[in-house]
Amino acid sequence: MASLPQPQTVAFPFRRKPASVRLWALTGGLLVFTVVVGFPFVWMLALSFRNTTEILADPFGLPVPFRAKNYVTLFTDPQIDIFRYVLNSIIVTGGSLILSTMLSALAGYGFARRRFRFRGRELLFGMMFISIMFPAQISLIAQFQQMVSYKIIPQFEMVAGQLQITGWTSLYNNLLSLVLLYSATRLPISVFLLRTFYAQIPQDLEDAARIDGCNDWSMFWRVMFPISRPALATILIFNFIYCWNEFLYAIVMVPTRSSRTLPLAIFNFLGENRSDYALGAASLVASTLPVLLLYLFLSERFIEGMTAGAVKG
Amino acid sequence: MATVRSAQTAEAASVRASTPHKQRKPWFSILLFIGPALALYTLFLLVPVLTTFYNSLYRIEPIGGELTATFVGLDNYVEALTKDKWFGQYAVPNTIIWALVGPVLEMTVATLLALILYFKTPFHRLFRAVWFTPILISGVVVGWLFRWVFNPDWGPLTLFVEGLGLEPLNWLVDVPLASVIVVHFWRTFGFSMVILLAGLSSISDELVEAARIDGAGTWKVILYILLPLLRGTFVNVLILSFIGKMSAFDTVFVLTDGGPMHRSETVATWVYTRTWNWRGLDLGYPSAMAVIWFLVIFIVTLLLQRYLQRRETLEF
Repeated sequence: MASLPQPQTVAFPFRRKPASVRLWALTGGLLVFTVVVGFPFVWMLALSFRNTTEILADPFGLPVPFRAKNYVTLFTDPQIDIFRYVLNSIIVTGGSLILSTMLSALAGYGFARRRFRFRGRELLFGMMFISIMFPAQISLIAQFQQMVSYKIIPQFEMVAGQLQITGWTSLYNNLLSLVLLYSATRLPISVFLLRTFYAQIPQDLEDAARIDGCNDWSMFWRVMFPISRPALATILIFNFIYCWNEFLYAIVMVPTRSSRTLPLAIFNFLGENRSDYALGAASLVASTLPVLLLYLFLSERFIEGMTAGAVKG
Repeated sequence: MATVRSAQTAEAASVRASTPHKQRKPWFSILLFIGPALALYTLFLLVPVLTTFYNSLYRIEPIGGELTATFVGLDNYVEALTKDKWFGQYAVPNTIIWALVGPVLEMTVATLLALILYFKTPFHRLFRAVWFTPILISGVVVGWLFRWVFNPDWGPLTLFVEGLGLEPLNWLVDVPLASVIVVHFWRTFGFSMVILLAGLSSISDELVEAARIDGAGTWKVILYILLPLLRGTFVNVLILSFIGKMSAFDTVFVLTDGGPMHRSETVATWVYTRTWNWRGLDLGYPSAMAVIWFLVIFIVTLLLQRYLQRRETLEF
């Protein structure tokens, strides 16, 4: 488990020259750079509280007078119907997180412990591991083909007072397709991170639980899964960001209006309202806000989660 | 020899005694733990990858509402490599330029910033938090936001350059590829920086201390201790950055959609356009392009790994 940089105890090299002018020049430069990097966010927020006439008159202006109208329109206009897309995104993200976390915890445990060794296990794991670096394009078209041709969603209808299956439709334009694809895409990295975690748990713990009467399943479910909470939190954050923001699979698999996820809906909404910059800005802020709020409170965990595993010690 | 053997026998005996379950493989548990993940992975990732290779030898068109495949051999590859001018003259060169310029720019800036933050300059936590934020944001938001930043009439960048007394460009029309590169850099440099910083922080403090006691100044510590020991992490981040640029889709798609006139077309956007925004649906031909590009990425990654990384495994 790669852990985040702990607060350092290294002597600060600039400290030799007290109140170094160079240090403050450097800090000043970094501050300017940081303002430039952060500017688009602040600007987007400011735009969302103004109206388009004001924006075009002075793009850099402050939101004075403060207008909440864009958000009122965004959240109440039945034409926009934003909550449907928020709900779709919650369904897809929630489903994918539950599925990928459960499966990768099980597999991470199975791949990590000596007890479950079998011939070819490392090969299987290696195969899964290498697909971390596969770009989406190499599987995308065939996945589309799968979703179009697998007709596995039953259609129900009331026939003579009884619920009957009247036909089967494909996974295309069904949110389940995204749940399956996101979970499958996130599995390799999640399994890799959890395997590393489970491999570090001392054998003594397992032996002790075994003596206390644990079988393989209760060992996992009552001992291993609970103590892996830190690692689970890491992959949950990591995968949440992916699922909430994902765009390519969404535009290919669920293009119908009613099944769009939030990023896709925002994309189409902006395309249809090109000249209403104020309302557009509000939609950008609204789709980003959940992530940014979480980040505000959990920034260390986010940074740790997103970069876990990439450090080579 | 005899002592060795008796030690082994004793060890084997103790293993048997302490773990009586050892004789039989717990196949049911193995299946229970690994099976579900392996099934999902195989069905929705491994099979589609293999299917893409297979499909690249066919023309797959919807005929009468059903996708119908016709075997065409290597025709798709011949077309992609010799006839498709959008692929050969725009998408491929653009993506290669991006995959060269992007990682060099990103690694240089990220390494510099990571080294600066390593020394705990004032506000380092704030800086790290702000620089990291763009990677958390959807490519749709980033792309659209920068369409406005680059707007030729009222975009902040345009007004800023005018304010300096210079002649602004129509960024997304005059220099579309450069715009894409800059926006993607903005989106990912903080992420790379944070990984490099974590790599620096995992270097033993004692080494740095020892070097300092031996009289090494800041520059020597950086040059002879920090950078060499950062190498493993650096190569990982470089590979991630390279793969990222080679396959980036959403930022480009939203920002320029490969335009104007394909001048910022990348392989990722072109594969998408040829599959879903083309005259007729054909799943075979774009599969061939995807396979070509996958092999390029795979081979270059292996080469980077082989020649830059000292140890053997790729650790994501």
